[in-house]
Amino acid sequence: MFKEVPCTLFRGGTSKGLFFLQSDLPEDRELWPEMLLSLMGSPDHLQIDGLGGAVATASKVAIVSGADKDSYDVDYLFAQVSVDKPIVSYKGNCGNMCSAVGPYAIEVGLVKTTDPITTVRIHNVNTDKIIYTYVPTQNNKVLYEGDFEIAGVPGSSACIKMAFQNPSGSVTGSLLPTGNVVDSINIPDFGTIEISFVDSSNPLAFIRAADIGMKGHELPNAIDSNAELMALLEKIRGVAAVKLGFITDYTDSRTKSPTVPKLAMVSAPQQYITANGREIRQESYDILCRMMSMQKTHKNYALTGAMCTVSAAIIKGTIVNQLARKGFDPEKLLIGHPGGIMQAGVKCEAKPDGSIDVNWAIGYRTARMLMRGTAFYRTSEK
Amino acid sequence: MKIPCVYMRGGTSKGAMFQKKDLPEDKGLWDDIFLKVMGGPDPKQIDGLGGTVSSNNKILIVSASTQAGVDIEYLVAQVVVGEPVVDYSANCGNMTSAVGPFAISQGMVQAEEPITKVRMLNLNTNKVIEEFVPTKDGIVKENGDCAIAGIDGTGAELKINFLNPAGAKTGKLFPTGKATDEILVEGLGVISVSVIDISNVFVFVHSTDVDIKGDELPAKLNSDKKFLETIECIRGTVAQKIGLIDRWQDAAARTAGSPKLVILALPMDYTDIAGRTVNKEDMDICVRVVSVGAVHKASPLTGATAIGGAAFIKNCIMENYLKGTKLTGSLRIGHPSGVMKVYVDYEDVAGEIHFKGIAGQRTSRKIMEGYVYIRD
Repeated sequence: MFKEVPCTLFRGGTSKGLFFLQSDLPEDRELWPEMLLSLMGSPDHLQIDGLGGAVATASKVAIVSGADKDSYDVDYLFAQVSVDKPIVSYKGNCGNMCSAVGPYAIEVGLVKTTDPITTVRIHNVNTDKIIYTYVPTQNNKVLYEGDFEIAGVPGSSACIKMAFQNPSGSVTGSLLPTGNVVDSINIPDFGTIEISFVDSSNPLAFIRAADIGMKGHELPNAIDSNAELMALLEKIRGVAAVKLGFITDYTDSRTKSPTVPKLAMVSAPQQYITANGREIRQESYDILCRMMSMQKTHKNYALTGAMCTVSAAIIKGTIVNQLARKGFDPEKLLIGHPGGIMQAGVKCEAKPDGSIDVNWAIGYRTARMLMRGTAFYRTSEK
Repeated sequence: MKIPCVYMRGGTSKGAMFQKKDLPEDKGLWDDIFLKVMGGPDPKQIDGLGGTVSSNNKILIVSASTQAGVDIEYLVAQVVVGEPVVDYSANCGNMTSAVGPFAISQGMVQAEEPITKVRMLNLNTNKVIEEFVPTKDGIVKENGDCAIAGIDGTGAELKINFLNPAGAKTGKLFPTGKATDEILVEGLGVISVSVIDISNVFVFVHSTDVDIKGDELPAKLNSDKKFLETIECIRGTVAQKIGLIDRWQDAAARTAGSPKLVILALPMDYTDIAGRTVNKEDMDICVRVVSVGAVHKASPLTGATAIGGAAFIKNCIMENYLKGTKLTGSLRIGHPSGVMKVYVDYEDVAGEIHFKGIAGQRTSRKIMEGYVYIRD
């Protein structure tokens, strides 16, 4: 039989998905997977019998509820609905979907507006982390129109600032997991290379593009089609994973530690052409980066990776710090990536011993409400 | 800007359904609105409802009709993925199945128990189509036991009845003038075929004449170059015979979509595309349909209507396969994705068969209802 549930479809950053009030879902959470799979039309590679868009980035769910807490306004649980398998996963947060949680919370009346910016304090249930989002509002309504552009989304929208609390040591427990700003690491059959390990929002290994013979502005297609280079990059990532204690044999990185650490190849700003043919001038940004994600060159730059990059940029002596334009704004570092320029920032404080701690990582996204109403789903319940 | 919208699946397509009255009167504004609804022309369609392939980029515009004998009118707009283009050149048989349920649930057509007949004029093709929609207590019934290929689970059976489908392409049921022809095909010799124009021109051939068993899956047949060449020779020979082209060799370049081919075999057990067993007891005929140079993953709705009609034509080569089968106005067609049932309404007029309507089965469901928001 079919049942109905109030539902809102949102784009958040470069993802889209369904937003629900937790109070509209069955109390018994055992019933959620079946319900969410039917709502998305999964499992089916075309998701033709539901709202899913046939790719992982368009098959996401946010479950939101008002929280009567001093430290935050709403609870947000993220769920990834598999396109072609009967699987709903609650592992990890999605920064893109998170950018739409604020607008959604305002639309459904969970949060009172304070023009011109309404702060929505979000507790991500998956990671138990606090995210402050700053949503532009006008006449007590979400203001979606604006002139802020993000790579991967056509046109411009209002900018939503997102601040992630305590991003340091997300996986390894410390901002500088090896205790050093730069390590000299031996890569088998290659030689010694300098790597900066920084863990903020996500653990990243930073290398100089020039150290492996790259110019730094290569596009993803060129990198991905260079088998020799790809093998070297994965080897470096594997050795980095061993150094961080994720695996014991670097050749296992593909299978045993495919997601962490991410590897970024960094250069000082230079003029380059984006994947869609736009010219980026040298003086228009602060640091040039390419990132490897899941054994492929990222088409743009991951939000968590960007926040880690800023953290690295403010730590004196790291490779990112050495190469970034002097005098950049720590709250708005401009990262040149294959799709354009991404902004990210940090707020940090100096500790008594002279080292610094990153208290907040800041990212910028846009979001838009696509459809709102009632969704219908199949259920085996009577 | 927000517009009332119902997002529906019809058959194996899905799309956004609008009442015409909710759209601007100036149709010049429609293309821009439809592109924005789906998130086009961005190939990822991340800022709209579209799901990056043509089958989920359908827009339907429905209105009450003032024409006699017609309840509602509808127009299908296909948003072309990756391009700033909206195409109005064709109807969509799949989404047609969602029109009746939409019209009833929007109060445009009065529901009648147990089945509501909705007569609809498709404005893309200017054809009238009837749909039979199960209804209960004034509400469209979505639950049922009808399974269609490509959709998991079952739903209420919707019958889509194409009225007067004979001669759609050539004006004649038998474009060659006969129910069965012996034709000479280069490299193959003389074979028996039936050339039938129902919804489109279809050439019926024996599986033995093209050297297949009849239960092969599309992936296998479509990678068999020799098989595809044979098919193209037959298609070209028929296209030349009925005057669609001057030289049979030009068929692929000049008339790729017509004729289509139906390869016939006796009912048999086989494994479908999804790995499920299809039982020979559940079908009256086993077919593989060739459409635009490739074996279809199921059967197009047009093909199903032609196969259904051909089953009732005397002296058609299908007769050999249906001896001993008692047909009462319907035919169960085994295809690579399962079994499809078609309903044939015909009469004998002075020894000649006249098809009043041939109906295919679909299911449909409302996925979401509310307002769609687009950029101003």
